Formats: sequence, C-alpha cells, structure tokens
Amino acid sequence: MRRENVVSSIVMARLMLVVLLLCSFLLLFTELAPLHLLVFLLVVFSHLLRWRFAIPQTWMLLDSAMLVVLSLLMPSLALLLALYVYYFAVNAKLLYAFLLMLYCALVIEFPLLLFPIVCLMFGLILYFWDEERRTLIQEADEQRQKAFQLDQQQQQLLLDYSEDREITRMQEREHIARILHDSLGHELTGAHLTIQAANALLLQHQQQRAGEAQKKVEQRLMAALDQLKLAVRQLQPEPEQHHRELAQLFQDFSYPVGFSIQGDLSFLETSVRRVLYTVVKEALTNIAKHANPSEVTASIDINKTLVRFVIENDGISEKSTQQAGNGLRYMRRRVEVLGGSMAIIKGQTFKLIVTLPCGVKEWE
Amino acid sequence: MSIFIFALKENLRQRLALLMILVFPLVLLFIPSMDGMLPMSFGLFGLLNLYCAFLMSRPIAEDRMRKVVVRIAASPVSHFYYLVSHLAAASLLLSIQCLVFIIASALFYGFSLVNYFVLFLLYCSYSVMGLSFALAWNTMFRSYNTSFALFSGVGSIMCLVSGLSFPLSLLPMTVQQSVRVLPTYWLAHGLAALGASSPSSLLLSLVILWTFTGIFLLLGSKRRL
Repeated sequence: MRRENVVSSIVMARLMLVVLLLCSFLLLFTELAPLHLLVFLLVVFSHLLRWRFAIPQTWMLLDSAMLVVLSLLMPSLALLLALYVYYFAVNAKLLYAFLLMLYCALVIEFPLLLFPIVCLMFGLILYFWDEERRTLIQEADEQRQKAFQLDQQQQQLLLDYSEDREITRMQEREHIARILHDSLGHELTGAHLTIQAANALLLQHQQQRAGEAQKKVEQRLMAALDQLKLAVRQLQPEPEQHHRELAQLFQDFSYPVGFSIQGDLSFLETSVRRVLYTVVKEALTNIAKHANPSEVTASIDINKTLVRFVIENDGISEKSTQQAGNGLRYMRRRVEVLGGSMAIIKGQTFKLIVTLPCGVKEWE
Repeated sequence: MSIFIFALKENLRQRLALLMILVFPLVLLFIPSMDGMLPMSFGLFGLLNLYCAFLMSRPIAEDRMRKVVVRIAASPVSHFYYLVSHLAAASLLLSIQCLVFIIASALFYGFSLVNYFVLFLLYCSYSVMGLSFALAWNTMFRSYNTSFALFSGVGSIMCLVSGLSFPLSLLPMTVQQSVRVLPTYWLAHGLAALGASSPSSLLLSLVILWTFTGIFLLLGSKRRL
C-alpha cells in the first residue's frame, strides 16, 4: 500500500479541529456578543499559530489558562476550553487534557458538557490512531531494513562463493600442470630426442641402430601413456577420501557420536560437499560449546537428488548465547545459498536437519 | 534594489493603482449622505480600500503563479523577508490612500465631524486586514484572474451585508447579528462607534480587526511552491 494514498492522522486531526471549531461557534452563536466573538477569534488564532509554527505543546497551557480566567468572568466561554481538551488529547498531553476536562465538568452544565466529552473522545481516538500508525510505520521500516541487510549479506556470500570457485579452478589447473610436467614431460622429451637420434642414424645408413632407437621411442611413448592414465586417475577424487574425512570429524569429537553415512559422497558437487563438511563441523562445534550431551547421533543420507544431514543430542541447554545464534544463522545462510534448507527441532533433544541438493544451480 | 522598492514599483505599475489610491477616494466624497449619520463615503471607502488591497496583493499571487517563489526559495532571500517586504510596500500604498481620503474628508466635511486621527487608525487597521484577507484568499486559487472574479462578487456581498455600502440598521436583526463573523462588519461597527463617540466599542473593533489580520496572515503566509 502506498503511503500517499493513506489519509494521514495529522490531516484528520486538523480536519476534526475545523469541525469542532465550527461546532463550538454554533453552540456559542446564540449569545455571540462582540466580546465572545473576539475570544473565539483569539482561540482560532491560537490554534492556527500551532498549525503554522512548531511551538512546544506545553505553551498551549498558557493560552488555555487565559481562557480559564476569562471563563470565570464569562462562564459561557468555558465551552471553548473543549478545543484545548481536544488539542492536548491529540498531542499526547493526557494529563493536561484531563485537568481541563475536569474544570469543564465543574463549570459547564450537562447538555453542553457533552461537547468537551466528545472533543476528548475524538482527541483520544486520533491519538491512539496516530500511535498505531507510527508503530506500523516503524515496524515496516525495520522489516525493510532487515530485508535490505539480508540482501546485502546474500550478495556478499554469492560473491565469496564465486571467488572460491575461481580460486579452486586455478588451483586445479596448477595441479594438472604439475602432474603433466612431472609425469608426461620427462617421457615425451626422451621420446622426442630418441626420434631425432633415429633420424640421424637413418641418414648415416645405420639401419640396425635406428631400429633399436625406434623401439626405445615406442617404449617411452607406452610409458607416457601409462603416466597419462595414472595422472587422470590422480585427478579424479578418491571416493573413500571424503567418507574418511567426515568419519574423522565424528570420531575426533569430544563426545562419542553414533553416526552413519549412506550413499556415495563423490556423487555430490565439490561446493555441496564442502558446505556439508562445514555444516557438520559447525554442528559439532556448537554441541561442544553449548550442550552437555550424554548421547549424540548423526546420519548422512545421499540419494540421486538430495543429501540429508541429521544430528541430534540430548544435552539441550536453557541459555542460548549470541555466539551460538550467529553460528546457526551463518550455517543457514550457507545452506540457503546452495538452495538447501535447515530446520531445528527443540524438545527433549536438540535436532538439526540440513537438506542440500546434490547439484548446484549455476549462479550468475 | 531591495524587494520593498521592487514591490512598490510593481504595485504602482498596475493600471488602476494610482487612480484607486489618489482619485477614487476623492470621488467618494461627492456621494450624498443620509441625515443624522456619518457620510456614506466613510463606509464606501471600506469597499474601495478592500478592492485596492486585493489589487496590491497581485504581485505576490503572480509570483506564485509564475514560479518566481521557487527561484526565491533557491536564493539566499528568506520567504519571511520576501513576504514582509511585499506586505510593507502594499500597506504603505494603502495607508497613503487612507491619508488622502482623510485629508480630503477633513477639508470637505470640516475638521469637527469626527476625530480624524482615530479614523485614520481605523482605516489603516482595516487596510492591513484587507491585505491579509486578499493574501489568504489568493492561496485558494491557482489563477489570479479566477481569484479576482470570485472576490469581486464575494467582496461586494460582504461589504453590502456588513453595512459598508448602506446602513446596517436597514437590514433584519438576524442578519445584523450573523454578519458579525465578517471582518468587514468591524469597520462599519468602528465607524458607528466613532460616530457615537464610544471608545470601548471602537477599541473592540480595532482589536477584532487585528485579530482577523493575524488569522488571515497565518493562513495566507504559508509558502506554496
């Protein structure tokens, strides 16, 4: 909803003041002596002055006190005090409003007393309306600010993720270059030199020695082929290694952990595997810091589309520190960036469930 | 050139300005009066003065329409200084008009008719009220011509029913009581009080005229870009 379409409570308060001024004028009209009119005009002036200039509301007490003095001389003017009751009620000076209302109740007789009562009622309604409006605006602003901060953090995480991928790619290139240089380079250089030697022998018509050199070239190329196969095997991740790393985390934990890993971890993309590793590590750190469990169980289930990590402990702590809150919050952001989800179930035990997709959508 | 001098020149540059300030007040003196009452010209001068005040508010209204106020807002000149200079220039011209009428009346009707100094004070108060009323009235319209067209009707009716165009005693009692809410009534009331030599009523008229001035100034002085 756009703000300009909403009738502001300030505009409404001003409109209501105009209506109340007209009403008070009509009520006074039966005895509208020149002096009454002068006082009425001064009351209008006093309210207009507050409309045009930001004068502290307490100064209105001076105006109303003067009107109280005048009303002692001309009792019918006490009716105009209702406008000051309204002013104080709208501007959250409830004590002044009720004091003036009390004076009105003492001075004004019953049928006319309804006017100050109505003024007080309208003033209070507008005051509470304005309060609610301010609260809503404040809440909306806070929500917008939070959303903005979250957006900023998400952008930062995506940037970090992109940079991480670039670094990993560079490291992999260096690794491949090193393997090719160490294993293939030596054999191929040897083969190249042997071919040159064989060519020289052929030019000298030493057929036998050239044939021997040719055989050596064949052997070196075969060796190079074997080295290439070995290098390719080295580049491929070792399936058992990831399993071992995760298992090591559970085994090294300060409390005994009953854990199970179902499915092939090599099926996961590198980034997902890394986040899973970080999540497991963070979850175990949180338990060590903030819980005193007698039993910790963990399970990792991998299928074709999803990986699901569940960790549960019975050492639930009453007080939760800010640090723990931040840890879980950052964990959730990491998981959500990859399109996963995280849930916490607190009961007799503390249960953390993290679900991640096996593959990650490419972020632009 | 200060804004005051500029406003003064702008006001005098208007076609009818000099006529309304210097000539028309003299013409009013020749309107016949009713026996036992103050001259009719005293009341009718209120009508002339009100229109003259409206004419003097023209530069301010046109500045708003031509977006000159936007440029002034961006300049180091404050809106308060701009407004006060214009109002002071217009008030000076209106006071001159009052003075011309007072001097001419004193010469025409004799010096013993009324206290001319008090009459001058009353007219000056009324002039300032008329000027502030014109200022507040103009804020309701985007075009000066529309504003003037409506004002010429409303102003005439206001002066008619409040006893400036003809004696208030000829109107019904209810109307006489109702028109107290009109600012123009308080000039007629003041003139009646002057004629009856009632200082308290006269003072009341002056105070009410100044209160109206304050109210209209508060309404009309708000900067509208």
